Amino acid sequence: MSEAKTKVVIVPCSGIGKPYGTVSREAAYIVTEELRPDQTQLIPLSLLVLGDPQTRAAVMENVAVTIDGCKLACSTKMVKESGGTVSKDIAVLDAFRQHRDLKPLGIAELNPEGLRLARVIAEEIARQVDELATDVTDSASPWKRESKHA
Amino acid sequence: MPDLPKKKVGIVSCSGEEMPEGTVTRLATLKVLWELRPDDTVTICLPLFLAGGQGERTFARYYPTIAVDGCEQRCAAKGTEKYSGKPAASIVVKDLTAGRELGSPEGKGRLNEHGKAAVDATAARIAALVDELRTGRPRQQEDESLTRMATYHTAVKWTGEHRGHIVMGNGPEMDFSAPPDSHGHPGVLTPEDAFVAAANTCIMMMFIWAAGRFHLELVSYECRAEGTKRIELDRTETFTHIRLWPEIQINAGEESPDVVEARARRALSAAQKYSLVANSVKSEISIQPTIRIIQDGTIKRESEVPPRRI
Amino acid sequence: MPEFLEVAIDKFTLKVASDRLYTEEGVWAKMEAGGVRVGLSDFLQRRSGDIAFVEVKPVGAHVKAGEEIATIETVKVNVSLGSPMAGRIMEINPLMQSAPEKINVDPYGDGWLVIVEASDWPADQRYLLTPETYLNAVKRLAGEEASGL
Repeated sequence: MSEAKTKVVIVPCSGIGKPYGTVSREAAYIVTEELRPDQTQLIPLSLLVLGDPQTRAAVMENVAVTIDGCKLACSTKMVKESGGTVSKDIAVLDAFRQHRDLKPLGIAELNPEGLRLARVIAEEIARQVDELATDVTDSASPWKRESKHA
Repeated sequence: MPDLPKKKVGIVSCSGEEMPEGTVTRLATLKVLWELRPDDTVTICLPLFLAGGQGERTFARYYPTIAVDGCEQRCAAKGTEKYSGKPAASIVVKDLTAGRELGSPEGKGRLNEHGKAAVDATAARIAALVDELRTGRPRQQEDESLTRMATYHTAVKWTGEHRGHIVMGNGPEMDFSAPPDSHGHPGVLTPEDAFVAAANTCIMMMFIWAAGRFHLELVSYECRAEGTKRIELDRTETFTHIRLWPEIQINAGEESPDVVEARARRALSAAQKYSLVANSVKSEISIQPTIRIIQDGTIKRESEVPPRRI
Repeated sequence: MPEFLEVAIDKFTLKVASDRLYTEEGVWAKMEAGGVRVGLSDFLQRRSGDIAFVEVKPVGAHVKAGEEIATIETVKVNVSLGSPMAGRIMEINPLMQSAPEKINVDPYGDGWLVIVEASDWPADQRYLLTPETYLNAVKRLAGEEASGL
């Protein structure tokens, strides 16, 4: 088994067409700056796709959690096409369906419900990060790099 | 050729998450889209563009596209060129803000004041490019003045002996000199007067503002100010104190004079707290106001408030 | 007197009371025997400025979570405050009429705004921030603002 990984890379789509893209961006900030700053790293999707060496290395050497604002799932698609491993793909729309009282509005600035939805998503990602860390430290459970959501 | 919207300019922003300039590109693009040029522009979603969105790529192939990037990585410009063609124009926020001597944007999810100023400047630049691309000539420039940062300027020129001429940023100009007891000339502005005047005028203007916020009906405001200069052992000089004696009259209207006086004191306290000049000097500033509350044409309360030191 | 979490940003020491929950905007909610007491955090009152007036929804009014429950007018700005939870307003702090500056002086004590009879506190409190999480948010926001000075 390879050396234990120390970071989970978080890859939001940051789509600009709908509020869900802003929710993905906000959730990524909450995870990487507040909830799990030492265990995660935010990856700009564009840098990955355009081949920035440091960004590609971070994605190749760690597992990824992607956050997509719409069904086109650009972040998940491009992380996989870049050779990365998606441990968890979060669909903002799915999260909204489970929390219908948190309808996000606004693209430049989210409404309070959108901010709450972002936090709900961020907390779910934080739990995923904790699980991944547990997998690493559990010697009976080698680090699994294939996606858990085929 | 595909059936595409007519006479639109596409804007693709990097929306880079790693640095504040990425957020600046996003917000500037949206500002142009919704406020500045809503009829002339469309936005191209960069992740969709990069992931293979054919609508996005086709648009950029046939219509002018402005790439707005946060940094020298220029993901939006490179992506556009790679999949559709060289963008018609390209903006890099870091270059734009450096060229205008704007402060550094900070914050990614929430921009600071410099960041918000950068959004305005970038949006104005995008709008100008939209005009040029659509019509071939620039529209009259939008007001690109920064609403959250401010700089103030004066210019002085020596006019001989111990005299000078000053031009103020807000318009007035006048001769100045040192005080007569310091080799100067009477009848003109001196630095000493200017310093005391800065404190006096600033506190007055702040009080006028605060009186409005506290819903006070101001009748009159006059204030005498005195600055005390001390000459130190090493012959350097310092203003140790500025003392102000404002006389304030307020109409109570239908309200209780006691209640109005209490608000007047709070307004004066706020004026002292929020005075730009008072906050910027190291002299001790003390204010000893006289507040008169008027009702039905007569003075109902008159109080001399004990000096308050800033 | 609650215990406080603290963070020093620039020349300010910002306090977060550790016995209540917070909205992202900085409105706190504290469940008590008589209802949920609501007020402004130290960070929110400080960045709003000296308070001149407070206008609160009347007693008996119903609010939804996130809906405006009060507005404050400060020397500098007007601020709309969203309710941390759904419920009915039971009591308004009388000091909000006579001495609204209490919010600046004692935001976690005498400067409370209202007491609300919550409709579904177990559900609504899930969306509020713990003191530790709100402290991190304050560090992020205040740090960003201070770095621009």
